[in-house]
Amino acid sequence: MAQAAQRNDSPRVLVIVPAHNEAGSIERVLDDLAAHAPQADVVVVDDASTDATAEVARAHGARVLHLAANLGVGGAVQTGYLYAHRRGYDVAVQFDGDGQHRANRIEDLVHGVTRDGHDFVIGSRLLGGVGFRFHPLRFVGSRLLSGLVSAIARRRITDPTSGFRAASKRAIRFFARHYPQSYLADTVEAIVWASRQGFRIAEVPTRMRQRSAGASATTHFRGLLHTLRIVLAVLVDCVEPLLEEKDSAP
Amino acid sequence: MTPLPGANAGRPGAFLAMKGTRTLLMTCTLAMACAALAATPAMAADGTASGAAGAGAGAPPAAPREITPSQHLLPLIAAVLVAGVTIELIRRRKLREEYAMLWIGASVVLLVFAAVPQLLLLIQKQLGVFYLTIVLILSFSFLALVALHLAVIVTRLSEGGRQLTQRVALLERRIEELEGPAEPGPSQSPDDRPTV
Repeated sequence: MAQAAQRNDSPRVLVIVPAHNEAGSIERVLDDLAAHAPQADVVVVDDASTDATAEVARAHGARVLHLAANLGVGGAVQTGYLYAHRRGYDVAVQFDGDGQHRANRIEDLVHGVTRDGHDFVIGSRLLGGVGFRFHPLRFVGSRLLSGLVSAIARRRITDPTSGFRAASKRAIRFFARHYPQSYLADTVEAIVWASRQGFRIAEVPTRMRQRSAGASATTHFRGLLHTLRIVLAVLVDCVEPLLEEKDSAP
Repeated sequence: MTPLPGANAGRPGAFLAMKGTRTLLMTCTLAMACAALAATPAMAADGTASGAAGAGAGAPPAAPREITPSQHLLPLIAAVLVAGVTIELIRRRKLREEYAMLWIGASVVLLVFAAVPQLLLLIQKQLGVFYLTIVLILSFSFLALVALHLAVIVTRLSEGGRQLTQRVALLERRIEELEGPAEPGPSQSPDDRPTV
């Protein structure tokens, strides 16, 4: 974050880690973050885990927001945005608790906001031909979604389902107020909402690991159904009235 | 089954104790129920007693049949039942007026059909469908409406639950910060600043 430091004092960055029963991988995620993004504050949003996720996270020095009832990824991420908004952070980074993202890429995403002036920067697992392989069936679904989202956002979005993204102050304020809650479609819908809101959206390449522990929320078998649901959700988004963006406190 | 509205008549104290919309609603419905009750015997009298002309036997009703006593009575019984249960639930504060509107509306419609069964004959003539079909269509549309109404309410409730959960999480964190000793903090804490 050296470049940003030249312009003003370094931006205050919050890493939002939504986690549901990730006790097995949260430790590695937090170590990774501490090693590669030491300037950033980390908040783990524990989405009513039944395992020791919250305890492990606390023991590793993270702030923990504990949700008493399971809200799903959308509700958990939004809690992080609420926290970021109330504490006046400049940049919020979403970083999944399952260990699939790499903390050394956070700087690229943050730069997209602080240096390049984007509002919403998505860490793509597919951009730049860097090594993540989808199952063929999932590849088709992924292409379909990226085509749809690219058309709506009027710019190339290769990986709209990536959960690795950075938000500007304006986007933080907006997402604290409105964040899509639909199961598995929230990542895609967030891009659509952001673009309809007139946010500047960009994508940067990131590598991705295969999951380190726990089971992915999607299986190949259900992939197609989920894709259709997401497409439907996106189509509904396109005809919804625009959302308010004023700064009444959520 | 909860008592019919007639059961309340003996206890005017409970009735008078109510205020505002509750009283208004109950009075209206009671008045309509009484009116319908009063109107029924007269209506039933001039309807022919041919009970054999039951719902939808034989060919499509090109010419409307006479009104049978059951066409008077069934909607009336249903109306009184619906209104009675709804009002009793409201009276016991188990149901809010806001959510009872559809049911009150349904009993009003039933009362209209009880008072003027010729309406059904008219619909029968216009659409060329059987009495039973009309009843089924009407009741199905009503139930669909109720289901939709409930879905809207569920959405609103879950929205409220989500916001509460999120705020509790933030408050718990805040309490932790205020109570606990120095956090095993990452960078110097921005949490000291007042909320934005």
